[in-house]
Amino acid sequence: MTNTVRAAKAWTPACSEDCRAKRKIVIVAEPFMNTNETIEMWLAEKRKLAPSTNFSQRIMASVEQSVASRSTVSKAFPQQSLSTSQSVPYWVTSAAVIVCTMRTACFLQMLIEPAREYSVVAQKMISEVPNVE
Amino acid sequence: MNDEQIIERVLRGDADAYRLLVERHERSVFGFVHGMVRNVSDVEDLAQEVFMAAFKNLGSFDARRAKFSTWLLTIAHNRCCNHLKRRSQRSSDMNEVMSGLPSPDKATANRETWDRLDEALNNMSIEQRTAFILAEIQQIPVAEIAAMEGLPLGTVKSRISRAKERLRRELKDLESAETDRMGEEPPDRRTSP
Repeated sequence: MTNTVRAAKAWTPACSEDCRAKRKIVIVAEPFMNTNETIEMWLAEKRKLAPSTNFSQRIMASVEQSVASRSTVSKAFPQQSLSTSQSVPYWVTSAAVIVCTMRTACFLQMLIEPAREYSVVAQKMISEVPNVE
Repeated sequence: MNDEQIIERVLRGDADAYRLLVERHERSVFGFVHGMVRNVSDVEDLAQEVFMAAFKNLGSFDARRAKFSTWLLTIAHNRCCNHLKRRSQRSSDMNEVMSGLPSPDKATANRETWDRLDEALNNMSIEQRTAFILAEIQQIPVAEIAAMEGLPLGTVKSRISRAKERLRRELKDLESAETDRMGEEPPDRRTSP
């Protein structure tokens, strides 16, 4: 066996392995194989994807947490709104009562207070005219 | 029991009934999110966020306007877009190692092709990718996608066909690269006597 043949024999298995690997890829992407078919195969692979088995359990655990926190909040909120609904009108009403009282007092004072009269004869305010018996 | 009936039960306070909805739609939501994001560690978290957001806003779901599955995918789409925007702002998305789920069917022969297609999908714009995933992976009718995204029918169709064209081009590039590699002469190993 010549060196050339020996070298060729030594190269052949490596080559065929390499070629086989290449051929595998080419089988998928060969020109005569429709590219649409390849894409379809890839898409079918993608459609098979699924989450882990405990995925729905994880979600339901979060849902339960959310429901629990929501019920806590809903218990807290009515109390808050009740106190708000009680306190706001109270303060508004109080302020309104104070303002109205003050305005009424001023108005009454204005009505009650006698108007100062001017004496044309004495050329003075009546309060300044001395009482003449 | 259909989706609407389950939703009614959940809204009446039977939170446990939500499990039925999760089990019914988890594959489609997961598949969609996986197509959009691809990073496995983020996919389940995002899918979970989608279901939680849907649960919290279940009262606003209107069965006359859309199917529950469509509504769920709209939430998923919004979540994915926000996630991708956040990622691109942090500019780490490009460096991130994109890994698909390990699949037993993924033989070494297919892996290169699948990876190239995954990469091509990942390089598409968010709009193109969304339309393609919804139409081809989720197999939602184009009219429904158009309604979901608030776009004209023609726009959605053109996005899908452009995405397909891009994938075909990617495959052709791969083919020609393989043909070139095959055509290369083996190294001359002949030794002199």
